[in-house]
Amino acid sequence: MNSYHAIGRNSYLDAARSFFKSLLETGEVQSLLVPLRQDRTNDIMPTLVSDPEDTDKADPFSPSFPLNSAKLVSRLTRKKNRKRVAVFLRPCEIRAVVELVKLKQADMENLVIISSDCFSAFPNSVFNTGFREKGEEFTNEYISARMSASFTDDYNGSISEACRICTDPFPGIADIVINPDHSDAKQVTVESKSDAGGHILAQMGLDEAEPPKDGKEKRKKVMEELGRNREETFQSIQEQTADLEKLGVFFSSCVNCYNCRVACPVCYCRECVFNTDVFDHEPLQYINRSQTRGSLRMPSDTMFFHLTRMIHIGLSCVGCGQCANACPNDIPLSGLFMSVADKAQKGFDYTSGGSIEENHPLSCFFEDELNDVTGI
Amino acid sequence: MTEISSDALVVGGGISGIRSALDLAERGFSITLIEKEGYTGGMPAKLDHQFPTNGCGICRMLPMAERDSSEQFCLRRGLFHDRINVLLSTTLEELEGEAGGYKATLKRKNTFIDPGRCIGCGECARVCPVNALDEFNAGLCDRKAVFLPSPHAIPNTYVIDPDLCNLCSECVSVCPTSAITLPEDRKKEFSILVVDDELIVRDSLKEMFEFEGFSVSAAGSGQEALDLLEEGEFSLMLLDIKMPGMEGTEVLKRAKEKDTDLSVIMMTAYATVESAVETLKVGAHEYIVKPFDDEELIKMVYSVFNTMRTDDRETVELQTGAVILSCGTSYYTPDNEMDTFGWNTYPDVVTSIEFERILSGTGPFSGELKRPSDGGKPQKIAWLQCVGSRNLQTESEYCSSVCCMYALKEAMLVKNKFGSDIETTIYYMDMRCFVKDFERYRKDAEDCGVILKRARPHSVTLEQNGSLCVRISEASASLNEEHFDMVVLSVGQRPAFQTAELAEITGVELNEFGFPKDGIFENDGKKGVFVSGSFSGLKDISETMLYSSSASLRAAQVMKLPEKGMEPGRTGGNGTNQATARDVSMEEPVTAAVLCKCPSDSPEKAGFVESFCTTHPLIDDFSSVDGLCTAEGWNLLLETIKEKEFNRVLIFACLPCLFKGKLAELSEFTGLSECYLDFVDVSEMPEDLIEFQINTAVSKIRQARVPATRAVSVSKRVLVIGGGIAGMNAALSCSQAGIETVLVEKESELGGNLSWLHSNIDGTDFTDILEATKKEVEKNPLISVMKDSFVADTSGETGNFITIVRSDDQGDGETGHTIRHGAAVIATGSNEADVEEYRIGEHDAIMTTREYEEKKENGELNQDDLKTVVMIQCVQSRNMDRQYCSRVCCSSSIKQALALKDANPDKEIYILYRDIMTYGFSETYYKQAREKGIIFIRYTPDRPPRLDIKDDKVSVTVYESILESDIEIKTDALILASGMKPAPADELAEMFNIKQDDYGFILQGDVKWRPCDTTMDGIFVCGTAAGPRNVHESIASAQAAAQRALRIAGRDTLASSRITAQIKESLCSLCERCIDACPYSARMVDYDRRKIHINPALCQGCGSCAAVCPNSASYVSNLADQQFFNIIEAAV
Repeated sequence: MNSYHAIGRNSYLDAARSFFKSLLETGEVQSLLVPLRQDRTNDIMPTLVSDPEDTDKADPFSPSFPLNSAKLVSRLTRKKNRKRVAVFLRPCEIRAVVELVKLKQADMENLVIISSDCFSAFPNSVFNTGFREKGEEFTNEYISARMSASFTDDYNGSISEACRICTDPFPGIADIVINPDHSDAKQVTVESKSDAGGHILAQMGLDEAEPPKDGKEKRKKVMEELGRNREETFQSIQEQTADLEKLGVFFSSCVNCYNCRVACPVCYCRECVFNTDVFDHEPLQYINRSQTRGSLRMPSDTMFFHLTRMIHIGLSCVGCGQCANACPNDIPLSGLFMSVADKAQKGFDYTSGGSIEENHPLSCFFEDELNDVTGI
Repeated sequence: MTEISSDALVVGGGISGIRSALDLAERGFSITLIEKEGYTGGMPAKLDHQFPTNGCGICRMLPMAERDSSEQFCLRRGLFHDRINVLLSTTLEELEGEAGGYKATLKRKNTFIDPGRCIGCGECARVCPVNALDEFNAGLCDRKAVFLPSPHAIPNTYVIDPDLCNLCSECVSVCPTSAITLPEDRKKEFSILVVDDELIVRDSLKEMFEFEGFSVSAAGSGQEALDLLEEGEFSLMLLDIKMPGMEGTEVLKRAKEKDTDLSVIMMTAYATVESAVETLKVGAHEYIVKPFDDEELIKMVYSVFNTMRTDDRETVELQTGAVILSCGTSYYTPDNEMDTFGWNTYPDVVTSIEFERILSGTGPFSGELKRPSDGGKPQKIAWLQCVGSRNLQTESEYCSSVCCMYALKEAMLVKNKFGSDIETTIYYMDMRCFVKDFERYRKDAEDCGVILKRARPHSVTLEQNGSLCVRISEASASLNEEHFDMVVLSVGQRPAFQTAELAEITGVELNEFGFPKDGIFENDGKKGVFVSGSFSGLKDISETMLYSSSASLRAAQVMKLPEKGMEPGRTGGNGTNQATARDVSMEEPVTAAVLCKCPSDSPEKAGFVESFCTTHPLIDDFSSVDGLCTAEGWNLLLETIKEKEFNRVLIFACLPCLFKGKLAELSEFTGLSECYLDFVDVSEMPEDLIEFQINTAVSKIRQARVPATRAVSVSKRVLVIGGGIAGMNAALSCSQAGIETVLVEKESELGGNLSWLHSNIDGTDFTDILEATKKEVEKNPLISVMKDSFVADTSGETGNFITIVRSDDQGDGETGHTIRHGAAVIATGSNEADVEEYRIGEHDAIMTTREYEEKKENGELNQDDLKTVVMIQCVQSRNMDRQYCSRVCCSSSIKQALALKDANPDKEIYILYRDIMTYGFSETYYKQAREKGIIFIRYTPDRPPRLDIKDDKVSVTVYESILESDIEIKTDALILASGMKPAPADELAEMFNIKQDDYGFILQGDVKWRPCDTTMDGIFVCGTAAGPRNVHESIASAQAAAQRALRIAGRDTLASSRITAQIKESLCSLCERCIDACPYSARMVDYDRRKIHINPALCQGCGSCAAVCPNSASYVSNLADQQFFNIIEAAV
């Protein structure tokens, strides 16, 4: 199934752009959703491209990550549609798509997923102050720095917390993967990882190529480092949130803007329960609460909101870090949510976004398993 | 005398009575259920755990359709159904009339306590001076003459045992609610005449009975006695036989001539016992031999006194169409002279019933494992099987069928609950785990360390050190001893108490052991009295369920069907008219609170409630009335609230459960839906708890919404798949209820396995039964039989299925027949398992049971040629592939063996077995077989029989454990008892969305309590499609399955309950998680309309969907988030 084809040499970005262009030219897919550098502002936003010429502004490897595109994939595929769409996604975005497919919010039928090893991303606030305006020059600089230094380069200080503790920066489920070559040959190849991917690559008439030099060692190293980071972060999160009081301190700057919920790719409800009349309390209730406790921090239900979200998305959390990215008050949500997700998913022996076939734990959970899972 | 009328009378309120009553109630009949004890639930009410689930599932009997007609309470606590009238402490005394029109006379014990006023405080029991053994706890502890009949009934009210009560009135004076009214002391009016020539006897008896409260006169001679009788009225005479002058016998004769109603107790010396016995024939009530125990005589006198009292009972007359007897069974009491196990002598030797109570949380030790002797925790416990079963000496040649399993259960529970280090040993003869999942249960027990020993202990003795010595004669014949801390006797079943009297009253036939016959084979349709459940003996819960539903089905056939308009589905649940009730959910809540001023409450409490309510921000009005539980109080309440403006009402009264019925009345009166009214208990609690109760109740009714109920119309037709004996019986049963039935059979002939199986072990001729059934099915205008046909596709849900049936000879162009039906019964049956072992096929003499039956029938095999026959049991059963016992093979082999032996007693017949599974009454044939010289040799799976074919002769070699050597048998025929495998039903199961077990049998909804249900409501299973069964059991299960199907397909509409899942479509993201989570398959996606569809008839309101739904788009009516958050907030 896996075939390799050369798409260029030296410039990783140029090779990808030319690949995108010829992909659209084959007509195998009608459109391509890819991060695209916007005119004038240099913002890099996911853009649905239909004209092959527009692909020369594609900038998929930049550390800009303004939103998780899984939600956009949901919009493109949720209802039946005969047009075929290709999407370029980071591994964490693919995982979110897989979760949404299981939650019937997205569909893989007419979807072609293209991905690549992830170079990590900066928080919006970092990228937008100093890096955005440098344009694609910076992207090339960043790629080469990351590749040559085995992803442990000077940019580490700028990389977001979620990326530093990423569970898997290498694409699992995808149709086509653009492979960097770590050897001197600097050959850029694409790999078909599914029948659909293989079919498309065959239509494109690309030259067959040797598989890239084995990056296994490098990947292992990267995973080890991420693992170490995770352990450290989880440890510190655990200390920061050891009891309800500490958890309250952790969330003390939360203003109930619910941006984290909007940014979360697996928070899929059409309307959140926190926006419904369930939380539309009577005025008397606020006063009662205040009287019972002496004082009531407003807006109320903050902790309730975050705990509810942990329960709702803990099993599906893909660790993309968009919650933290979206927080106006810089609450380090990604570390907390990922540590909760880690425990929940281990409890059910489940990997979010790991495979379409694996049922969501709550769909196949039986009461006699409670003991095994919770240890109660 | 009270007169009532009901469609059916169910005698016995145990689980079989409840099952039969609920079956009929669900079909729209009204039932009177009588129970002689003061509680319902029978034996399972005493069991906390049942095999093979090790939990309790009694509530699974509750109706799933039209749930609101019944309170959804634990059935160990009581049965509350709109169409079932439960009369406790009531017995059947007389029955006149015929099927369709009986007059029954019932006797209802007066308990002297008004259940409407008793608050269960127990003050009466505290002061009662009379002690008696507590029957509910199997006599392990004491109770008083005033007592709770069961520890967990709702409402749990005390009763007085009139036979024990000495009318001391202590309880009357302490009762806080004046609930007790004792009868007048009638002892003064009961005059006793003591006649004896010895002064000392006369005086002492006079003194004794005067002390008891009776009026006593005495006479020194016969003549004097007759003179006294002439002068005044006497109720009882105590008469000596040997007297100078006129003998007692003569006095008796003359006294009876004068007053025939006079009761006489004869007192006799040992020498004249014979003449005393004679006096019984001429009218003496009883006799007693001198010297006697005073207590014994007192007891006798009281029994005469009590029968003459009339104030302790009420006579009820009942008009009824049918009578169902469901009196269950009793258990053997090992107290006769044959008992060598020391029960009654050593306190730590207990029966299994006593042991169940010891394990029970409501038992004498509150669920702690303790030895009765010293309260210590036993470390070694032995179970002795077959105590009062399979035993000639105790007149029980039968196997009680349940004891092996309950012993395994008890041993496992001990290990799991009280420590795996406790050693548990079961001594057994054959471990009879003959039901499909039971073999696995046995394995589980062995895996958790329960020791099984095949041995029959002959005695138990107490050693010096307090341990119990169990003496065993092992197979190797040497005497063996083992020591234990506790010994449990697995006692067998006996006919229920008063079975003989009931048989006399109702005319049901009894078998040789005194159990009633169940009438499955000999049902003549004329009689209107039916034997239900385990009353016919030797059944576990699952079989009890089958035989109870089978009896209720047959009973329904002799009753008039419920009138149009009265049938279920038309009255809309429990009679309240929710549809016309005012919806006030959008109005600003105005809450009225009413306090019932109970005489038992302190004025301080009433004051507290009043001040709390009047200052409560959410309570708008407060008032109080006296004694709501009385009629005057209730009317006063209605008067009070009539004047007020409100849209929510809270009533504070004790025992809210008693007012459930009143809610409907109040709803009618106020025009408010029941969800805006509530009764709240604020009695007997500290002030902060009262605040809590009031706050939460206010929040609950404040946010309530009138639930949307809707009814689904039903396709009144039943589809039966499989035309074997089970399928045919199911179809007949449905058609007899007037419901059209389609019977689909894949073969070209009806009959299934009965086409080759011609009789059973008791000689019932299946050929006749088959022919009669086939004829009846084919001539029945309501049954359409489709042969050579199969189900090609199906869709829909309970109440409305659309199934396509195709026949083999139709071309591809044919689309098949479309059948609309409300329910389906799967009766696809089973086949003989494929045998590959024992070199089958290599020699004509080697054959399976079925092949043998067929060869015998078609004359291929001449019985006379068979001088030696060997049968091997458990071929393709109880092995790795089929971990179940096929249940029928042992009796089938014994049937063949007996037939051969009867033809020629010189034939040598060997049956090689692992455990002989002749459960129930078929045990008698096992005994017969051994008596007739059929040789049984036990083998173990690790040493199976070996086969040799030499010179065209088959020989079998088997290891004999008593001889401790191999023996070789040259045989003319080797019959392999091949076991059962399910007929292929994978496609069918997938189409109907029901589950199968590991072997391909249809999975039962609940193996214990709903054996005919599948995992999907509306689809039922009967016969061997659900697991191995014999023909008798298959027919019973077919009738039971039909009964289950009729309660859906027999009605016009299926109404939803008040508590069902609902969906807010505007919030729903269609993630479909709720569909996976629904355990009742009540939900599906409507892809065209892009929304979730809920079948209100299937939904049981469990709330799993609401739990998985992240934004509460799915919720349960009247249990919505906002309401609950508010209740929680009010509570904390």
